[in-house]
Amino acid sequence: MTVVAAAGNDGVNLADSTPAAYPEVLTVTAMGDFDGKPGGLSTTPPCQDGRQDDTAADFSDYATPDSSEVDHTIAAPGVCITSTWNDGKTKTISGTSMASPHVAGLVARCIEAGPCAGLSPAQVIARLRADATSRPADQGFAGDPNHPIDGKYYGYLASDVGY
Amino acid sequence: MSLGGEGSDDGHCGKTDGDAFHVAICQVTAAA
Repeated sequence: MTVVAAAGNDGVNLADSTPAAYPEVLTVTAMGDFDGKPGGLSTTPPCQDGRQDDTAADFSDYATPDSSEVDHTIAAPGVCITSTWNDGKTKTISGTSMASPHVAGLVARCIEAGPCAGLSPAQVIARLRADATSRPADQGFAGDPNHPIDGKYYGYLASDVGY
Repeated sequence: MSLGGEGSDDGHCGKTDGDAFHVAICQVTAAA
Protein backbone atom coordinates (compact mmCIF):
# COMPACT_ATOMS: atom_id res chain seq x y z
CA MET A 1 0.00 0.00 0.00
CA THR A 2 1.31 3.43 -0.89
CA VAL A 3 1.16 5.86 2.05
CA VAL A 4 0.68 9.58 1.40
CA ALA A 5 1.48 12.00 4.24
CA ALA A 6 0.99 15.70 4.86
CA ALA A 7 4.28 17.57 5.28
CA GLY A 8 3.09 19.53 8.32
CA ASN A 9 2.01 23.11 8.92
CA ASP A 10 4.75 24.63 11.06
CA GLY A 11 6.79 26.13 8.23
CA VAL A 12 9.85 24.15 9.28
CA ASN A 13 12.05 21.34 7.98
CA LEU A 14 9.86 18.26 7.53
CA ALA A 15 12.82 16.08 8.57
CA ASP A 16 11.69 16.76 12.15
CA SER A 17 8.07 15.75 11.60
CA THR A 18 6.58 12.29 11.34
CA PRO A 19 5.28 10.56 9.32
CA ALA A 20 6.45 13.19 6.79
CA ALA A 21 10.10 12.36 7.45
CA TYR A 22 9.75 8.65 6.81
CA PRO A 23 11.32 7.76 3.43
CA GLU A 24 8.64 5.14 2.79
CA VAL A 25 5.85 7.74 2.41
CA LEU A 26 5.04 10.25 -0.32
CA THR A 27 5.17 13.56 1.56
CA VAL A 28 3.02 16.42 0.30
CA THR A 29 3.75 20.12 0.77
CA ALA A 30 1.13 22.82 0.14
CA MET A 31 0.94 25.58 -2.44
CA GLY A 32 -1.80 27.95 -3.52
CA ASP A 33 -3.70 27.36 -6.75
CA PHE A 34 -6.82 29.48 -6.95
CA ASP A 35 -7.75 29.10 -10.62
CA GLY A 36 -6.27 25.85 -11.92
CA LYS A 37 -4.01 27.85 -14.19
CA PRO A 38 -0.29 28.65 -13.94
CA GLY A 39 1.22 32.10 -13.82
CA GLY A 40 -0.21 33.56 -10.62
CA LEU A 41 -3.12 35.10 -12.50
CA SER A 42 -5.70 35.01 -9.74
CA THR A 43 -5.75 37.99 -7.42
CA THR A 44 -8.94 36.93 -5.69
CA PRO A 45 -8.28 33.97 -3.41
CA PRO A 46 -11.34 31.90 -2.52
CA CYS A 47 -10.69 32.53 1.17
CA GLN A 48 -9.16 35.33 3.16
CA ASP A 49 -5.86 34.02 4.42
CA GLY A 50 -3.45 36.42 2.74
CA ARG A 51 -1.71 33.85 0.57
CA GLN A 52 -0.98 34.01 -3.16
CA ASP A 53 -1.88 32.06 -6.27
CA ASP A 54 0.79 29.68 -7.61
CA THR A 55 3.04 30.22 -4.60
CA ALA A 56 4.26 27.83 -1.90
CA ALA A 57 2.27 28.18 1.30
CA ASP A 58 4.35 29.81 4.02
CA PHE A 59 2.86 27.48 6.63
CA SER A 60 3.94 24.36 4.76
CA ASP A 61 6.82 22.30 6.07
CA TYR A 62 9.51 21.72 3.45
CA ALA A 63 12.60 19.64 2.75
CA THR A 64 16.07 21.07 2.54
CA PRO A 65 17.72 20.83 -0.89
CA ASP A 66 20.07 17.86 -1.25
CA SER A 67 18.50 16.14 1.76
CA SER A 68 17.15 12.61 1.60
CA GLU A 69 13.63 13.95 2.14
CA VAL A 70 13.72 15.45 -1.35
CA ASP A 71 13.38 11.95 -2.78
CA HIS A 72 9.86 11.47 -1.42
CA THR A 73 8.44 15.00 -1.50
CA ILE A 74 5.87 16.46 -3.90
CA ALA A 75 3.57 19.52 -3.86
CA ALA A 76 -0.18 19.98 -4.30
CA PRO A 77 -2.81 22.69 -3.75
CA GLY A 78 -3.47 23.22 -0.05
CA VAL A 79 -4.64 26.81 0.30
CA CYS A 80 -8.33 27.71 0.50
CA ILE A 81 -9.51 24.19 -0.27
CA THR A 82 -13.24 23.51 0.01
CA SER A 83 -14.19 20.03 1.19
CA THR A 84 -16.86 18.25 3.12
CA TRP A 85 -17.01 18.84 6.89
CA ASN A 86 -18.28 16.75 9.77
CA ASP A 87 -21.45 18.80 10.12
CA GLY A 88 -22.79 17.65 6.77
CA LYS A 89 -21.78 20.89 5.12
CA THR A 90 -18.58 22.10 3.49
CA LYS A 91 -15.75 24.25 4.78
CA THR A 92 -12.86 26.09 3.13
CA ILE A 93 -9.55 25.77 4.97
CA SER A 94 -5.82 25.66 4.32
CA GLY A 95 -3.16 23.13 5.31
CA THR A 96 -1.00 20.29 4.08
CA SER A 97 -3.80 18.01 5.26
CA MET A 98 -5.79 19.58 2.43
CA ALA A 99 -2.94 19.07 -0.06
CA SER A 100 -2.22 15.42 0.67
CA PRO A 101 -5.68 14.12 -0.38
CA HIS A 102 -5.09 15.52 -3.86
CA VAL A 103 -2.03 13.30 -4.14
CA ALA A 104 -3.70 10.29 -2.50
CA GLY A 105 -6.36 10.61 -5.20
CA LEU A 106 -3.72 10.81 -7.90
CA VAL A 107 -2.09 7.64 -6.57
CA ALA A 108 -5.44 5.86 -6.76
CA ARG A 109 -6.08 7.14 -10.27
CA CYS A 110 -2.58 6.19 -11.41
CA ILE A 111 -3.06 2.66 -10.11
CA GLU A 112 -6.55 2.35 -11.56
CA ALA A 113 -5.71 4.00 -14.88
CA GLY A 114 -2.70 1.83 -15.52
CA PRO A 115 0.63 3.68 -15.26
CA CYS A 116 1.06 2.64 -11.63
CA ALA A 117 -0.71 -0.72 -11.80
CA GLY A 118 1.47 -3.46 -10.38
CA LEU A 119 4.11 -1.07 -9.10
CA SER A 120 5.50 -1.24 -5.58
CA PRO A 121 4.84 1.74 -3.28
CA ALA A 122 8.39 2.98 -3.84
CA GLN A 123 7.86 2.74 -7.59
CA VAL A 124 4.54 4.58 -7.35
CA ILE A 125 6.24 7.39 -5.44
CA ALA A 126 8.98 7.54 -8.06
CA ARG A 127 6.41 7.60 -10.87
CA LEU A 128 4.40 10.48 -9.41
CA ARG A 129 7.56 12.46 -8.68
CA ALA A 130 8.90 11.83 -12.18
CA ASP A 131 5.63 12.96 -13.76
CA ALA A 132 5.61 16.07 -11.57
CA THR A 133 9.20 16.83 -12.51
CA SER A 134 8.39 16.58 -16.23
CA ARG A 135 5.76 19.32 -15.93
CA PRO A 136 6.91 22.36 -17.98
CA ALA A 137 8.69 24.88 -15.79
CA ASP A 138 6.18 27.60 -16.63
CA GLN A 139 3.40 25.42 -15.18
CA GLY A 140 5.03 25.28 -11.79
CA PHE A 141 4.83 27.63 -8.81
CA ALA A 142 6.97 30.00 -6.81
CA GLY A 143 8.80 27.68 -4.46
CA ASP A 144 9.15 24.67 -6.73
CA PRO A 145 12.69 23.55 -7.67
CA ASN A 146 12.58 25.68 -10.83
CA HIS A 147 11.62 28.74 -8.79
CA PRO A 148 13.17 28.14 -5.34
CA ILE A 149 12.42 30.30 -2.32
CA ASP A 150 14.99 30.76 0.43
CA GLY A 151 16.62 27.39 -0.23
CA LYS A 152 13.46 25.52 0.74
CA TYR A 153 12.45 22.43 -1.24
CA TYR A 154 8.69 22.10 -1.64
CA GLY A 155 8.91 19.68 -4.55
CA TYR A 156 7.36 19.80 -7.99
CA LEU A 157 3.63 20.27 -8.41
CA ALA A 158 1.87 16.92 -8.79
CA SER A 159 0.49 16.24 -12.27
CA ASP A 160 -2.49 14.16 -13.33
CA VAL A 161 -1.57 14.05 -17.00
CA GLY A 162 -2.10 10.53 -18.31
CA TYR A 163 -3.89 9.16 -15.25
CA MET B 1 -8.26 13.10 11.31
CA SER B 2 -4.59 13.91 11.37
CA LEU B 3 -1.94 11.69 12.87
CA GLY B 4 1.60 12.89 13.32
CA GLY B 5 4.04 14.77 15.47
CA GLU B 6 7.66 15.56 16.16
CA GLY B 7 10.23 12.94 15.27
CA SER B 8 12.64 11.83 12.59
CA ASP B 9 13.68 8.91 10.44
CA ASP B 10 16.05 6.47 12.12
CA GLY B 11 16.92 4.89 8.81
CA HIS B 12 15.77 1.48 10.04
CA CYS B 13 11.98 1.57 9.78
CA GLY B 14 11.61 2.54 13.42
CA LYS B 15 13.43 -0.51 14.73
CA THR B 16 16.36 1.48 16.11
CA ASP B 17 14.41 4.21 17.90
CA GLY B 18 11.37 2.10 18.82
CA ASP B 19 8.99 4.12 16.66
CA ALA B 20 5.92 1.89 16.35
CA PHE B 21 4.29 4.26 13.85
CA HIS B 22 7.29 3.96 11.54
CA VAL B 23 7.37 0.20 11.96
CA ALA B 24 3.71 0.02 10.94
CA ILE B 25 4.18 2.19 7.87
CA CYS B 26 7.12 0.09 6.74
CA GLN B 27 5.02 -3.03 7.11
CA VAL B 28 2.17 -1.72 4.97
CA THR B 29 4.46 -0.31 2.29
CA ALA B 30 6.44 -3.53 2.14
CA ALA B 31 3.20 -5.48 1.76
CA ALA B 32 2.48 -3.51 -1.45
